[in-house]
Amino acid sequence: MPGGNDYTYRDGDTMENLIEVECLKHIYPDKTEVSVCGLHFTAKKGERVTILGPNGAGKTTLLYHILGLLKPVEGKVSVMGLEPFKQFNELRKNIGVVFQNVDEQIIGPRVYDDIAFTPRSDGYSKERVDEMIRDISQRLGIEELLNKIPHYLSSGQKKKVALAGALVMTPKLLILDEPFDALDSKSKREMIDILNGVNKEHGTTIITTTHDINIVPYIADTIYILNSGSIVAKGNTQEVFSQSELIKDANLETPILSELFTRLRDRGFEVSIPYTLDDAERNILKIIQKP
Amino acid sequence: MHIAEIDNLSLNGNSILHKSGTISKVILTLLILISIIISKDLYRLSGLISIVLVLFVVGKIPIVQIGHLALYPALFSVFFAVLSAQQGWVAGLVIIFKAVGAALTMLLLITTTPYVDVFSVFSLFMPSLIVDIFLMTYRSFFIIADRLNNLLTSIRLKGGYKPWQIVLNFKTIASMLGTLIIQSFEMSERMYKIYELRGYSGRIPIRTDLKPVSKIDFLLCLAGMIILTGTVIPWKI
Amino acid sequence: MSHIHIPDGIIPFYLWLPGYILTFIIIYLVIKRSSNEQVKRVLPFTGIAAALMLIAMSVPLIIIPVHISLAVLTGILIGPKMAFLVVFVVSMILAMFGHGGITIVGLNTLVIGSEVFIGAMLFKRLAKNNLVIGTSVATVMALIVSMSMMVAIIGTYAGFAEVLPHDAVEHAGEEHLDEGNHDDSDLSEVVSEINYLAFSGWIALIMIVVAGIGLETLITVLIIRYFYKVRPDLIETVHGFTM
Repeated sequence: MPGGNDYTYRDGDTMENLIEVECLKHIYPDKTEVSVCGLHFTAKKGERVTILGPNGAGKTTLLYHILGLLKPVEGKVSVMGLEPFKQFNELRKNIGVVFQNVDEQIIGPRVYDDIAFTPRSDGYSKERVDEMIRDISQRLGIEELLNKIPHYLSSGQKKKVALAGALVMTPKLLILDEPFDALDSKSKREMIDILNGVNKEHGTTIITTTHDINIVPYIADTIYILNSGSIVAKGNTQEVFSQSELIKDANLETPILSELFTRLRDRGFEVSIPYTLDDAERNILKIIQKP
Repeated sequence: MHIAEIDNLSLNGNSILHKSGTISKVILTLLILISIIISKDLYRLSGLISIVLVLFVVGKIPIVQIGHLALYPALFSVFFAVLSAQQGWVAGLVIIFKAVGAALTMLLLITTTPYVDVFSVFSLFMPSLIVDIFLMTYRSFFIIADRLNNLLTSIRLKGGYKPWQIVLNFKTIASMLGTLIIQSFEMSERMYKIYELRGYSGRIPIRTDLKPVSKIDFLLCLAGMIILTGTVIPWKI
Repeated sequence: MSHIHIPDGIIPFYLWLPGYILTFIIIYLVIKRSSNEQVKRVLPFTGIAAALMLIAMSVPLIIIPVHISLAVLTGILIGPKMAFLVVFVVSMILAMFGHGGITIVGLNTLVIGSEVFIGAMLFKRLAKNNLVIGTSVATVMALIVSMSMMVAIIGTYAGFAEVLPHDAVEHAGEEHLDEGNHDDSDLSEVVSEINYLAFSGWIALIMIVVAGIGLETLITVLIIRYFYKVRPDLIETVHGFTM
């Protein structure tokens, strides 16, 4: 898998927060209460943030609040200085979203119509829409799909179509709920490349959720661990991965590379713990090439 | 339902009919339908059905595969045929021929033209809300059919389906439908939110710039006119 | 549960054309009277309701040769106005498959549409006091009205005496009125045959009609009750009452 850890954001960075969330509570119509509390959640401009947690931890609830889809009963959400639930229309133009079940977000009867949905609804000219769609479909490599009917596509292709629809307006903030779910490993790699490319090129802030810990080092500058409605950890890959107790508590598997290299260390090899495949390769070469 | 089967034929077909414009196909279909409906004798109807069958061959549609769909109208028309039988068996046959002919004509249209294109022709004269409901129904159908399949599988695995226990089946079906409808309703709430996020303004914009008009399109329309004229004028044999 | 499986070319144009015209007038009124906001909100569920109706109409219920349509249920869940549009769309899609002629779509929409309107209106009045009884009465009444309309339409074609079961048309009549069992499973056909032998003519027809109404009503009641337990907010907002 490609690396991509070019950015490191630290607490106390002077950059302004794009998103700030403080201890939220929401009550669903069937009276279920959901809260997301614990550490403050923040995301800066151009930052890649991953929310890691088991199913039902509250990841989607947190995203829905950021998107303005839920009204917090308690707590505060601020996105680009606005209140998402109240200032939904101003915000939505700056946000691109890919939900977990992309079938639910694809509207257009053909791939072209779906990607064109937002620009057309916003009143862009036909020529401009054509141009936008040409650009984004080239970037994602889905030009041949434009005339296809979405439900006959593979899940990887559907995700790409949904992503194209989210990226077509070049949003400042891109939010993806479980983008790697149900993808084969090739599609996962492609997805990682696309996301990192967009982040690098446009400085797009990207927020992803996942329960797949091994993918995190490739897509995140900052990781939050969410466990039963509480943010229990925050930091970069190294900081978070070293808290193995927290990871176990959250019912997440331990990152496979950390586990492997911890064992090597226990056997007396002098290695540092890698988080990406590239680092691991380097570390192993070091061991092998040692005289 | 056989939506997937028909989609496959209409989307992946590469005959001259598949390549021609949607509007011309709709016009041809309408003209043939009118011809069938106003025909009163077996000769004309046989002729019209033959034309439709020839068009199936032109469209490279395997008639065996979709022919069974024309059996429903055949079956239901039998009832009316029996009612008319007191006027002679010819009257009965005319009814069955009309039913089957009309159904085959519709099938010809939907096996050579993807739904989406048929709907986009609708959008030329129907209110956008109706077209949106068509599109939403078509999309939802697949999502729900998938869910229903999963539900059915899980019910079978849990042993909830017993062919001879009607009451039990009934309960299972009711609770299955209940679950499905609640789930679907919750899904529709999510969909609405997502649509809002994507800038949904109350209508789904679709491409209506239908394929450029070609010679084939003129030919199809012309053929339709000739068929209708041929049906209307008296023939002397 | 009653849609008309009449193929094209049987009902004369002076019947089906007004059917279409009336349907389009109602559609026009419905669209004119719904606000964009309202429509936006229910559109996704409207599509789903239509898809459910399509699926319900293609699921045979073993042994008993009927299938349910969920029309009253749809009317209650999304309101009669949007449900009327759904009925039109579903009838149109069914017609494209040859389930009923394309010329009959207007009449079909009116017949099932009446079911939707009457069901939803009665529900609104009656369900306040007692959900189960209210829903049952609404559904039964709606079905009786729509079936009468259907019989009336066929009657104008055939003359009333002909619509009623004769020995010769008995089997076909049942097939027609009750949508037939689209499944080809031989066993259930055999069982149906036995049923037809046991009850002849009137009794068989009445039995099947009653079974059909009972089934649709029972399913509607069960689902509405379940729905009300889980998501009371939906039914309350559509019909503007609380219990």
